[in-house]
Amino acid sequence: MQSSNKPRTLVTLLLLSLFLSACASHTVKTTRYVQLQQETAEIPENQLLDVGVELLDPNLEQIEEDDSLVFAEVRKAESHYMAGHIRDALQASSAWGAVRLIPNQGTLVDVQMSGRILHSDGETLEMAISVKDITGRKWYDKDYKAVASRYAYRRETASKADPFQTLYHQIANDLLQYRKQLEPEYLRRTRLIGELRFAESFAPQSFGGQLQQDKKGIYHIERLPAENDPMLERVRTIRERDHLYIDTLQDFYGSFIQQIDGPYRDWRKQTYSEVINLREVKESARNQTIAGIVSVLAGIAAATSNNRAVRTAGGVAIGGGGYLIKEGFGKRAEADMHSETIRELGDSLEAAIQPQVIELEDRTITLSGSVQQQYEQWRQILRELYDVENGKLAM
Amino acid sequence: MKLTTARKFPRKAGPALLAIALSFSLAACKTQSTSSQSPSGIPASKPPSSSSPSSPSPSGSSGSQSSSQSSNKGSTQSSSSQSSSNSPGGSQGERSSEANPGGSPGAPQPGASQAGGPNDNGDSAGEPGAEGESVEVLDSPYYDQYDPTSDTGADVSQEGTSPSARSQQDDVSFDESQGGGGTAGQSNAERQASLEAELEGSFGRYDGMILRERDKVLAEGASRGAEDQLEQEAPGFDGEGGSEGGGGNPYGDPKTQAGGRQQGEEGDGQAPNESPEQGGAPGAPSGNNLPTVPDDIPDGSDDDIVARQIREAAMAEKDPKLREKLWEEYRKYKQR
Repeated sequence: MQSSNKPRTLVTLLLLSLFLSACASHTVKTTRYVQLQQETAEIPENQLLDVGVELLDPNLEQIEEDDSLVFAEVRKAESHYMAGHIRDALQASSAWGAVRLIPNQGTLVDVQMSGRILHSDGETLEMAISVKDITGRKWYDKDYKAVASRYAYRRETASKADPFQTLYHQIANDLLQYRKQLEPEYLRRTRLIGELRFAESFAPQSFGGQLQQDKKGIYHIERLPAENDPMLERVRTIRERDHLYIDTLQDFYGSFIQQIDGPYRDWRKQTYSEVINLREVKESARNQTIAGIVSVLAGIAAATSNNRAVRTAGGVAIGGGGYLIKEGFGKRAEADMHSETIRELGDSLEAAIQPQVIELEDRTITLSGSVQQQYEQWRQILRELYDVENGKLAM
Repeated sequence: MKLTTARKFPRKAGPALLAIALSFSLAACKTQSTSSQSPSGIPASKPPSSSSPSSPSPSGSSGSQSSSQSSNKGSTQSSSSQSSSNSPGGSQGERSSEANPGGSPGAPQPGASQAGGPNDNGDSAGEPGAEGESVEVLDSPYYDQYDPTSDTGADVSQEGTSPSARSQQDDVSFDESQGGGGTAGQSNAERQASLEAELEGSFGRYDGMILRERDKVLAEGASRGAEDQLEQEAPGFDGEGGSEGGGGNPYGDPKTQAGGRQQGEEGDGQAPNESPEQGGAPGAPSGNNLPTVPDDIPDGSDDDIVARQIREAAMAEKDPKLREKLWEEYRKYKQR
């Protein structure tokens, strides 16, 4: 009974090893294209929420602990580049007020979207997105993943859309879907809370008691200032200036994205094929190694058989397994070559965009420093105005 | 003989010695008073004790006011005391006032006319360089009554603060009329107006700074776009790389898309004679966009600092939209 089963088992193992060594390559030629949903109904002015898309977290910690195929400067650039694409998709959905890139969480916007790049190469893009509004309510957290089609990089077929446009559309569509389920009253209140939080940040002595935060950190309106409140008028004027500042940052970011667009796209295109080759070679090497080991093990098992034919087959399996293992190691060397190519491409792109990254950082820091200084002065003036208007003589 | 002489000497020399002693004592007394006055520089009729701010007399009140005039009068004051001690007239006044420190009938005038009067003021103010320090020209006739015992501006400030504060409590209206008390000397309405003006001014400066930054970036973008266009020879504005199919916004120009609330609020204040294509080439300076002043804008001869800043920013602005916003800001400011 055992002797009759043994050859069958060995044959199965050999077939398995052959199968493993064979299957290794797959390339995505088509991806499901997600259309961008657009708001067709007219949204009343007082329900039109502004959206701030934070610059994405480049996830640089990953670079230290992961492999060296992630490049810090490239990631920094991507954090702007991809956020810019999300902003464009949101703007195009016609469902929002002003959609802007914002530098950090300190910026007060009706709806704030933040994200983290989990993985990015020419082939795959993964990111985690989180959305909350200015009332403190968290809308949702969601991870997104998209795989670029080979056609996205072909000269004849490439459109002006990004290879990962689908992912950006999904993000925009999800945000729109979420907003649609909110009550108009909630949207109105969100806008009011946005204005009051801004006012409070500049004139806490005047607007300090207008909002209350509950245990969950959600803001509620306690009372509203008079519409003709002169202090509110001043704060609104300042808010216009704040918008002007954010708009200027859009110019900075837009200019930066425009500068890196060409090199970055080239890099992605070149990386795409390299990444696919690398992945294929790695898979092939792994499968061949496994198949070789299985073959060798099967051959060793067959060597103990009483059947001569089986013993012969076992010998062949051991030889074949050894060859497969050797091939696997060879493939690993090939994978290293692809890795090296990717590294060189990354280094080259880093060198190309580094000046722009540094320039952008310098500009942004300089401007935001001046702006924050000005904001402090305005806060001081508003405080003094409050004192004067309330009969307190400034001494 | 000796004895006679000795005996006679007291008789004859007595009155003479007495006279000499008297003259010496007078001379010594004069020297002493002069030397004691010189370092302190106290005006003759106004020794430290009499310069107490609590003095109810007009001179006392003006004395405390003068000490509240400015915190950097120390050097001026010391130069004043020097000149007065050196001038003959000053010494004359000193002597007479020494004899009557409380302000005897012999003193020329109480208060401002002491220590040689206002003329000495002018002399001392006219030679501030002798002190070797920057001396602020005071705009008050009372500065010569300022307590000069302090040597430095810092000391003056410390010592002068207290009487100043007291004088404010005693007579706020006086302080307001002098206008030297800083913020504390202003009424609420004045202070509010001042703060409002400061706020407006800071808006103008802020707008100027922001617009300069935007101008810079947009100009760079325009020049870069022109270079790209030359390289690619692509007809469209988007400047998308023909071979890679990339670049630009797949939904169109973000400038036209970026709508939303803010654009709606701000409105499109494009001047009628401006080309709508301006948005297509952001910030591209062209010959048609030379800064012009709209017809309804006055000549600006009565502009204050803030208005002038906004006006200059508007005139220097090349982007028509931003320029129109600035003019709008200017109009609003002028209507206030």
